[in-house]
Order: sequence, then C-alpha cells, then structure tokens
Amino acid sequence: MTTVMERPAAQPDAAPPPPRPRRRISLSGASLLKAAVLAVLLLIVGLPLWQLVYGAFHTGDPFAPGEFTLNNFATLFTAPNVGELARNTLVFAFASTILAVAIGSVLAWLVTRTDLPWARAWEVMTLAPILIPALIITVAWSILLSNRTGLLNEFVLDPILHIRFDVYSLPGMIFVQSVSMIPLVLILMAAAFRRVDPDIEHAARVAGANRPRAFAIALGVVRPALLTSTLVVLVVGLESIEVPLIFGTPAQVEVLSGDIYRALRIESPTRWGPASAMSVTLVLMVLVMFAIYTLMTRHQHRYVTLTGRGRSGARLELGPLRWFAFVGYAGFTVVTLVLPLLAVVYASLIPYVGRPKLSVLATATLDNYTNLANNTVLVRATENSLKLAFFGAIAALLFCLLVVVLSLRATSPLTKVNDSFALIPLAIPRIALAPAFLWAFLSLPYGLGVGLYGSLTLMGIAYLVMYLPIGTRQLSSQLVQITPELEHASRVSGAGPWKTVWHITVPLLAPALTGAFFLAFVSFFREFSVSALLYQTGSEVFSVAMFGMIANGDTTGVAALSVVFVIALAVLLGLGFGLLRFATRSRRAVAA
Amino acid sequence: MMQGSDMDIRPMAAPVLSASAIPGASSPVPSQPAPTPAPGSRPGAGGTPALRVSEVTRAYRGQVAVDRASFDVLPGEVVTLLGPSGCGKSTLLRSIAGIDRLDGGEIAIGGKTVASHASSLMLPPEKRDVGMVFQSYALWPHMTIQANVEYPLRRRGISAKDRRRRAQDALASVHLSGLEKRYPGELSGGQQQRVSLARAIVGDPKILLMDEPLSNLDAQLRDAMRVEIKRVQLERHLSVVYVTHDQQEALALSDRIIVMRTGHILQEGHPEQIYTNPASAYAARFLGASNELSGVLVGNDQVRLPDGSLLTCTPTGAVHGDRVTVVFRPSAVRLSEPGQVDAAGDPHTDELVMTVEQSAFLGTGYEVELRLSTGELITAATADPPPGQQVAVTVRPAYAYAVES
Repeated sequence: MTTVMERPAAQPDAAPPPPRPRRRISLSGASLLKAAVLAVLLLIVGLPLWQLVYGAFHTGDPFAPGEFTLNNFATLFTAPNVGELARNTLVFAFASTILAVAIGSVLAWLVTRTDLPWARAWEVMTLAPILIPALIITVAWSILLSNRTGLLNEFVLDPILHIRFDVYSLPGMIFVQSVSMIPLVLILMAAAFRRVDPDIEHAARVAGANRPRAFAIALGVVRPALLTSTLVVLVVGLESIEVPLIFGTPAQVEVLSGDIYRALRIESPTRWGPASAMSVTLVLMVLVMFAIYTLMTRHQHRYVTLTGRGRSGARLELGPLRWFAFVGYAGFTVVTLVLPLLAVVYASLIPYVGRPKLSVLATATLDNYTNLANNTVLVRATENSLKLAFFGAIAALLFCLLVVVLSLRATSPLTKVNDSFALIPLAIPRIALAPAFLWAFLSLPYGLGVGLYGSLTLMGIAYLVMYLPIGTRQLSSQLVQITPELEHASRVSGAGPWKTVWHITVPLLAPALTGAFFLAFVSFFREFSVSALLYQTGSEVFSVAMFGMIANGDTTGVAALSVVFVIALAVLLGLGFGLLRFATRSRRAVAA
Repeated sequence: MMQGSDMDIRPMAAPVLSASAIPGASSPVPSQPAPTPAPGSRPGAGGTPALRVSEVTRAYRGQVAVDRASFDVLPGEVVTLLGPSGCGKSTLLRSIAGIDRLDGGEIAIGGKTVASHASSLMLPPEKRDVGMVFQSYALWPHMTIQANVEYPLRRRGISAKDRRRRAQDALASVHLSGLEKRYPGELSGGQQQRVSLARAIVGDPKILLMDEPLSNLDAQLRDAMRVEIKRVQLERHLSVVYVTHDQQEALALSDRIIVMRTGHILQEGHPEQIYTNPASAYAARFLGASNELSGVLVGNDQVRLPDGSLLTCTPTGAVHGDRVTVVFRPSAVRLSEPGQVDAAGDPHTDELVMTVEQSAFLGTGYEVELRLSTGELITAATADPPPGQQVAVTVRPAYAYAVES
C-alpha cells in the first residue's frame, strides 16, 4: 500500500487472522521513506549522542580508539574547583530562570489579559531582542554597566545612589542572562494565556479577589505552560556561553558550559575526554529536570478543558493600576531595549571606550563603520552565515516537513520512533551537542567525516538537529488543523501521494512554512554556542567573528556591527511580514 | 405475509417515490419508475455491475468494523448504506474509495478488481476512477471554485480547454455558474456542497461515493439538496453509493437500501420493502418504529400482552420460540372511546385500554403519550385529540411487526 494518507491505527497484526500474508502491502514507497528518515535521524541524532557517551568513558580523542576509563569523570569531580563550578552553574541557571519566568509571566499576563494601554506594541518590543544575537545584548550591557566605564554607573547609579554595579560578576551575569531570556518566556506564556477563557479573572474578581489575586488565579490556570517555560529557560541557562565567556571569565566566575568551551577551544592539547564527561553531566542534569517536569505535569489532562476558547470577551480592567502598569512596562522597555540600543549607537560613534565624558562626543567618528568593510574575517563570516541561514533553513524545513507529513499522514510504529528521535535534541544542551557532533563525524569509518570537520555543512547539520524539535512541533501543530479529508479528496480526484502533498498539503501549510522559514533563518544566523565549537579558519560565522572582535577588545567595532545588524534585521522583518501577508492573502477559511 | 394497503401513513417527505409502487419480494432491482424518467436512465438489470463488493472485512486493532459485507451496485443505481454512527458504513465507503484498506474480501469497480485481500492487491485512490463527496465537503481553501472543480481533470492530463468546458458544465448542472472565481470560504454551506458535488462528478467517475453529504446542512437546505442530488444523478445516469444515518434521506434517494449494524449487513432491499417489512426490531426501530411491547406469540399472528389483551400483528422473519416483541410506528396507532362495538356488533377483540399521560399539539396533528395498565409507555401520532382520559387503542396489524425479543 503506497498511500501517504493511510489511516492511523490499522495494525495488521491486530486484525483477525488474515488468510494470507500481506506481502506487497508493507513493502512500499512510504515504508522505505520512513526507514530512510530513521537512518538519517540515527546518523545525525543517535550517533552523536552515542559517541558523546562513548567518548566520556574512553581515553584518547576521536581520531584514535581509546580504552575504557572512568578518569574523565574522576578528574571532573575531584578537581579542586568542582564545588565552586557546581555552585556557579546552578546558581547562574536557576537564579536567571526564576527572574526571567517571574518577570516574563507578569508581562505576558499584562499584554494578553488586561486593558494595559499599547499592549500590542509593548509585546512586540519585548519580543524583538529574541531575533538579535545574544552577543549584541551582552556587549550593550558591558557598555552600560561595566564597573569603571559603564554609562549607567557613571551617569545614574553613582551620582544618584552612590553605588556602582559591576556586570562582570555572578549577579551581573544573572541579570543580563535573565533579561535575554524574558522574550522566550513571554512567547510561551502569552500563547498559553491567550488560550484561556477570558472570564477566568472576572470570575475571580466577582468571587472577591483583588487584581493581584486574579493574576495568581490566571497563573494557576496556565500552570503547565509555566512549568514548560521554566524548563525551556533553565536549559537555555545551562547551555549558553555568551554571558559566561564575556562576563564570567574576566571575573573568574566559571560555569560548566564555559568550561566545555575552554576544554575544546582554548586549551592545548584539546581535552576531549573531560569535555565529553562535562557534556554528559550536563545532559544528565537536563534529563533530571525533564523527569521532574514530567512528574509535575502528570495531571495535565485536568487543564485541557480550558483550551479552545479565547479572543472574545472583555479584558480585565486594571482600574487605578492601569497607568501604574503602563509606566512600569514603559520603564522595563526603556531599560531592556532602549538603553542597550542607545548604548551601542553611542559606542559605535566614539573612537574607543574609556571613562565616559561629554567631551567624547566632540570626537564622534564613523570610522568604526568603515572599518567593518575592511574586516575580511567579518565579511567572510557574514557570507557564511547568510549561506548557512538560507540553505540551512530550507533544508531543515524540508526535513521537518517530511518527518511531520509521514508521522501524521502515514502513521506506523516507525513514524513514532522517528517522532521521538526528532524530540531528543530538546534534552541536549547546545554546548554538549557540539562535542557530540565532533566525536561522531570524526570517528566515522574510512575518515568519511574528516572532510566535514570544520565545514559549513557540518554546522548546517548541527543547526538542523537543534531545529528539529521546534520545527517538527511547529509544523505538526499546523498540520493537525488541516483535515485529512482535503488530501483524501485529492487522491480520489486522481492525484498520487506526492502530487497531493505538493498541490494540497504544502499550499495549505504555506503561512506556517513561511513563518517557520523566517524563524529558522534568524535563529541560524544568530547561532553562537555550537558554531563557536565547530568552526575552523574559513568557516567562521557571524557570531563567531563578532566574538573574535570582542576578544580583541574592539568594543566600538562590535557596537557599529550591532547597529548595522539591527537595521538589516528591521528591513528583513519588513520584507518577511510583507511576504507572509502575500502568502495568506488568497487563503480563506472554509466554514466547517 | 400481509401486504399493507393503507398508504396514508407513509412519510410525506419522500417526493421521488411513486405511491403506486408495489415492492418486489426480494429483488435487488428497483421496480418503481423514476419521477422524471430520462431515456436510458433506468438502472439496467444485466451487464457488469458498476461496483461489486464481496466479503469485505475491515478491522481496527482487533475490533471488526466491517464484517464480510457483500453487495452490488448496478449502473445508474443509487444504493444507500443506512445505519447509526459506528455501524461500519463509512469505513466500507472509505475502503471502496481506497482511502482505507481491506482485511478480507474483494472490491471491483466497473468489472475491474481494485482491491483484493487474497492477491494482496490495493490500488491507490487515484487509480480507481471514483468520485467522492465528503461529509466536510473537503474543498481546498487555497484554490478558486474553478480550480477545485478542474483539479480531477488536471490530474488526468486533460487539456486546459476541455477542462474549462467540462468544469463549467459540471458547475452548471449544480446551478453554480458565475461563482468560478470565488474561494470556498466565500460560499455558503449549501453552495460549498454543490461545488463538492460538481468536483466529484466532473471526471465522469464509474462510481460516485457520498459520505453523509447533507449532515452539515440545516433542515430546509437538506430537503432542497436531496432533490438536487437525485436530479443530477438521473441526468448523468450516475451509479452511487450513498452513506447516511437519516432514514428520510435513504428512503427518498435510494433505489435500494442496505441496513447495517456493527459491521454487518442486516437487510437489503427496495425502500418500501424495508419500510413495510423490516426483518428485525433493529431495522424497524431504525426506520421510525419507536414503540415496543413484549408478549407471547399466540398462533401465527397474535401476541398476548402481559395484561392479557391480544394484539394482531405481522410476523417478520423467522421467529423462534414464543417470546416476541411487537414494534410499531406512532402513526400506526388509532385511538377511540373504549367499549365501542364494530360494525357487526361484536366488541373489538384486540382492544387495549390505556391512560393518556400527555398530549401535545404539533400543528399537523397530536402526539399522545399513553400508559398501559402494566406500566409500559407508547406514543401515538393522531390527527385528532384523544377522545378522553381512558382510550381504546388499536394498532394496524399490517404495521405492527412481531420480532424476536
């Protein structure tokens, strides 16, 4: 049977004893394709994970077979700084997570469920930084809050409060990390709040609750989303290296992710074994959190009755708190978006970052911008990133589409396996994924993978793996909205499975595909953690080149680059929204 | 077997049935003439059937959805699969279309085998030459009406000029000319239904499959669409398998009705035959006989109820043993004042005295709820209000069926 739209269920073994074995029915194009997808997933997800564990328990490096050993873990856990490393890693990840989830949830509630003025505009402004490389935000905060030269320290904190806040410290790292994770929390929580019956808060108010208590009720209703956001952000806190490398290393506050980077990238000879042991430890930490999460969301079905409604109904009136909330949100936006942007614009126009004085404005220059064009590494890296983002996003989307169409329209035990494989990368921190990839491809037989070492292709595959869980979920949530009858109608009309996917499924998914493409493009372009470990000379990407400039102390150059990036992004977004509108123009909802 | 002669209790919503028709005993060939007989539109009795379903079985996870179902559809014939949801009728239809597979049996369309479990043959839907109208209409929202209707022709590689002509022709036959440039979302439910029908017939399929096509329409529109579907079917001499759970639709549209229950075919026959002579309590119930009284069979055609009174009825099928259930429609119940005598001066032998529980005026008549002295409730549909609180109840023997309990 070759139909791509075969019904779910339909397990031949479960049928009453068939008179004859069904030969041709199981050996078909669809089954072969599913097997091929599984083979690819085994190669790009299964093998790296296996090699990571293998490497952690063996001596030597990926080029040579080693012997079994527990030394890598022994070294890690008996190191003199292991207590401090563990403490810093956990405090950094948990504290920034708690801050980000607390602030992000309040903001999400304000913009989705209350009559906060300008709610839509605030939401867009809070979300915008998610498109910007984290390095830009990090540099902006170093310009604003470094101990000696920070603008905020010099012009606000010191003159008014007589304190100086040093961002090069654990509290500083926590602050910047949480600010950079708030947009992610907002996306997840706003989506959850929008699905909840608009009368939940009204019912609470009628029952005698004041407004903060009404918020607490709404938060209880979206508890599953709250837990999901916490988990997602916690993993980001564990896997990020931007903040630990830029603020942590100079302040000698080391965390696990930064240590993995050092073991593989800075120290010589490369410490493959310890890096793998640290990566495995990180994966285990994430798995423990997943287990706790699963335990806590066991009773999630209790909440499902609340989904399905939305939109209609009046938002909660904040009353006297309305303008208080407005001013608060405005203040938040000024601090987290406007000030960093002004800081990079300021730094991009001055010759060097020193103790800020007003007289420095007299020496304003555009040299930082003109120098960018002469930076050959940067130009090459930008080209590389554009190539990777464009072709990588297309490849990633096509692969996700294949996985999703097979799993939703030709369900079989095999597609269930494929689905679970596509979700595995969710549990692998990016910083651990990179060494896993190196191990896997360097150890392929006959040196098949050595040619890929340090290549853009390898990075593209790594990007694809990281994007798999997001992409498959995004597309499948759209595809389940499309009744299979639309595809059946096409088959009955004489179209084969591929023609049906091409003429019916893909056009119906067009808006989702366009959105997913832009998301993939932007997230591939801004990627840093994995690229920083996989690149070689010639295959630098945008964020890596930017990090190189930061490492060389060229803060003003990075600031100029950031300004150029933000402007380019704004143009791209304008084009993107135009395209999205074009794609949805001809699409009309069918009355059910 | 007794043949009913009082045709006044037949449902009035059966416009295409001729009132003078006399159902054949068991012939699958419909015997009544079509209301608008077009030349050559009569189902032919000989030749290759448009569809042959033999011993088809389908199971999901060990649950049998269709169990050895067999039937033929002759060219130009409308066969309805009638039954409640979950009886396997839609599964059977999907197996014919090729959207679902078989776990046993064989399907042939126009004499060509398209699916056979024994020889592991399973032609995909696109190779079966069928047309299908889906319950949800399944119009493609990203294509215009024109593009939707042309699609089956496009996939068959027909030239643009012919495509346009045939699509226009199909749209004209469902009275939708002039809407070609619109999108499905801009049309009403009834119009979408017509587009769906046009798309299903545009390629002149060997068999047209319709899966509860009227269930998403409101009552008025449903009656109009039903007449429309019948007209198009006659005009184009289409062979149709029609799936529904609505007895009115089935009676009005079909040349033959197949009553299904939990995957089995219970009864097959001409609409009037099924209506007047149901083979089981289940079939009778499904065709509107909502009253049931249990009793003991006395002789061949009388049932003694628990209160001792006798009810004359029509025995149906093979009744083994003497415990039976009498089923009858509300419209078969007559009410009169108790204690009356008939023309010969004798009291009614099978007079049941019942208490009126409730009487509701419905416009066309009265719906009366009655209670037997032993407590059972029945419903009567009468033209006049009940003559008193205590009434004598007679049930027309021709429309009361004794079936196995």
